[in-house]
Amino acid sequence: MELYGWAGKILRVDLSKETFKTQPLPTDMMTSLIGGRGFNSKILYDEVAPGTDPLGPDNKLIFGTGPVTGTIVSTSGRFTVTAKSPTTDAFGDANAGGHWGGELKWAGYDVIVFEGAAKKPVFLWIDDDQIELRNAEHIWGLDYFKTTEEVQKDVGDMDISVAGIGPAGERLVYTSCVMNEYTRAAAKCGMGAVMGSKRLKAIAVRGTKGVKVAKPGELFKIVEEYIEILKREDRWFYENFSKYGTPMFVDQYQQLGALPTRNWRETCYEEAEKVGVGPFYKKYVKKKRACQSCPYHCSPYFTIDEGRFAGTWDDGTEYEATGGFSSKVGCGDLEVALVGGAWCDKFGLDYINCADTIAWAFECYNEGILTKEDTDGLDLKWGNADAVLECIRRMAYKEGKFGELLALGSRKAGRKVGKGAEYYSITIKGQQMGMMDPRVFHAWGFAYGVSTRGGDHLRSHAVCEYMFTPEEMEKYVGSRKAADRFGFEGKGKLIFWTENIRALNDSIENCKYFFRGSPRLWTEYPHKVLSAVTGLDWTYEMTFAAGQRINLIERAYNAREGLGRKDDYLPERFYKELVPTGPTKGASFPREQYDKILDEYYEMRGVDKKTGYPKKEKLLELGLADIAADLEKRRKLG
Amino acid sequence: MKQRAKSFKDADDPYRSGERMGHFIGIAYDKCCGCKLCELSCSMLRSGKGISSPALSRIRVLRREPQGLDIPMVCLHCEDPPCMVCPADAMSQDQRGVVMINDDKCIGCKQCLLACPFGAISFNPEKGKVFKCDLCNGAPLCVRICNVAHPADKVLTYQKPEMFEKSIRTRAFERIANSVMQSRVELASKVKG
Repeated sequence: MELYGWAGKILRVDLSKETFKTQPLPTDMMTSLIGGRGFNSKILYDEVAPGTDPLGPDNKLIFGTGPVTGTIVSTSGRFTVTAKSPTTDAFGDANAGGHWGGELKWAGYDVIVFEGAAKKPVFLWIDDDQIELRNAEHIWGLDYFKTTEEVQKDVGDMDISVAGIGPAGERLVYTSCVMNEYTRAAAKCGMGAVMGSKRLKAIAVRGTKGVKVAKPGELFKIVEEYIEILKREDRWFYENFSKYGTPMFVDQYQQLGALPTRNWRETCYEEAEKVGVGPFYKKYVKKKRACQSCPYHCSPYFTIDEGRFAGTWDDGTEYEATGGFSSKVGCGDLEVALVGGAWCDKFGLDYINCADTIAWAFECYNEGILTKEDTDGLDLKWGNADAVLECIRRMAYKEGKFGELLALGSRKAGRKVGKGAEYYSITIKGQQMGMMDPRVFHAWGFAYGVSTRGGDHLRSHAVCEYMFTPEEMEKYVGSRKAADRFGFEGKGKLIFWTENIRALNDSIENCKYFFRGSPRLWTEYPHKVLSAVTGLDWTYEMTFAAGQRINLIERAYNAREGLGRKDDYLPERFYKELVPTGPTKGASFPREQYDKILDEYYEMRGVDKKTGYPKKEKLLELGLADIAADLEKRRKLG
Repeated sequence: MKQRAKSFKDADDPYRSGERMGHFIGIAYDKCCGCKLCELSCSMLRSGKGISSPALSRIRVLRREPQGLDIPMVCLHCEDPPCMVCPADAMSQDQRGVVMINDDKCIGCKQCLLACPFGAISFNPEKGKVFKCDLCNGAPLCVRICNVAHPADKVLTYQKPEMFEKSIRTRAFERIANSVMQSRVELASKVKG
């Protein structure tokens, strides 16, 4: 049978022995798990045993693409990086856009699995079927931008795609990420540190084979049709997002009273106007750029032309940078936030985890838990712009005692410091969250709590709660009240439903923003493009089941590591403190209400209410008998 | 040497008068976002086997992140095409100025590939023949998908050269006009000062 969509190949690279092996992609995996995140999660579950040291040679680093990656399917340039996470000490993955995913697919691989650890720094060079591990000692220590340049020079082609790590990944910083195309990050879960622990500096790819599409004409029509639907059904978002990208959320969340300020104490920032999208676009942005096959182009390319930061450039600057390095640390200097973002890309740090950890340190300092002695002389008063940048640099290079502390990420650093510092580390399962306050977006808050990779805004489509009309909510979730962002009804079902959709998006490897606009996009588009690309007959039910399967595999992985119901809660701060100021003053998320939503969600997910472990019936129903047997053996069945 | 290609369907052509018009795909170099939809549409629908691959595309976008550059490269259908060096008479230019390759005649010598100053001709090792843009019978797919996905940017346009000249001239005019207005303001402030 001729294979369409999938390349049908897994590449295994043993870094300890410096050997390569390709193996065929199992056919049953294609239809049950689709690709990307789905494949990776299953491989991780099967091959990385519980208790494995995330930074040891037994952990595996898996790069996966989906069946539509590298085609004209909208936003299909994505890939997922999976490994056991040093941030959460449990399941970890991260998803990135750019062009690297497509390039890997064009070279003829669905998945790369890295095993073991190299003795000396190396980079992998994939030129279609030619695979080579090259010496990277001369680039070890360079920042990620320079690394890309040097690897391109080494190979002798400026058009190849290079994924890699910066100094943060090399130094095993827990907030580090895997970068590609200069500025695109697979950010969450400290994947950069796992790559660094394997002494793998970069993966350069040139692909010329391409992706075979089963029904090209039909695919072209579907893609065109749904771009038109996107434009029609969510015109405001399409136009603004194309024009501004995510930095526009600073203004939007400020208005909605949801902008995390001074380490999540407040939800409204008095200087938000200074760091909003207006000043950013007026002075700095030069053009808009896009990931592969994107109908939006949300990525602003900017340069700073004068002043002490002259010469700084970055691309794809996000809300998490313009807000993270401003409101979250109480510093209303846009240039500092932009430079902070650019440095994160250069050093290979995650915007969210980095900014949150710095905000944690600021609050601890202002509360008197950390002193100037602990911070190696840095004055972390709210709003000290220079200290923000210095923190980023010291974290990336693990410079001094304070740099070492920041490099742990806020949960582990909080535990180390003690003295009540844990209260201020705003993490779930050790992972920092996206920048929307849980007290004013209840579905979102709940989604952070139950996400399988820790506090995360991308694992479900919680934004529905203020985007949908009550009528739409009734149609899809069965409760009009679910459209109230301060309410508690229907939230469990909303998150269950959209978590499955998001797992599907991550597995065919599409961007969440393409699906944001209209439920038609996420209930129709995935199975239609899958059918056109792979030539198989996909239905909504099949894709939805795959979404459930993936979520449950990840939950099973976490159960095996000992994570259960107790780890599905928000940080204490959100249960205890009311929103103190701003338009949402007084908003709260009581723990009893959270518990109720959790019960409702566990019921649908097929998870035991007491332990939070997956139930046997549900695993069998979804065809995951091997996982059920494994959990039974380990007494982790719900 | 200059013959009218049989495959060119009048009905698909937005300019049906049959006059020589210098057809080409106009490119707004400063607007392209580098999404590669043009490359992937071209290769998928024109490579013959439904393969999505920039290597098989007749249009290519080169990206340089540090400078924020995305530059589409495609055949410009020169009036006096250097690629006409073909020894097998496989290269032709029809009366509208569209430069095309006759696959049956191509011997795969790659002389045209070497002659093109824009790198607009590629070699397909599997077929052993060269390929290049032929404007898709008057309805280029790259232009179509570009305008569906990014309607506001008008990066790729298929139109008469004079229309393209006009839009470039208008943009240049605005730039110059701005600086003239600015210098007037400065002059006025100096005079006042």
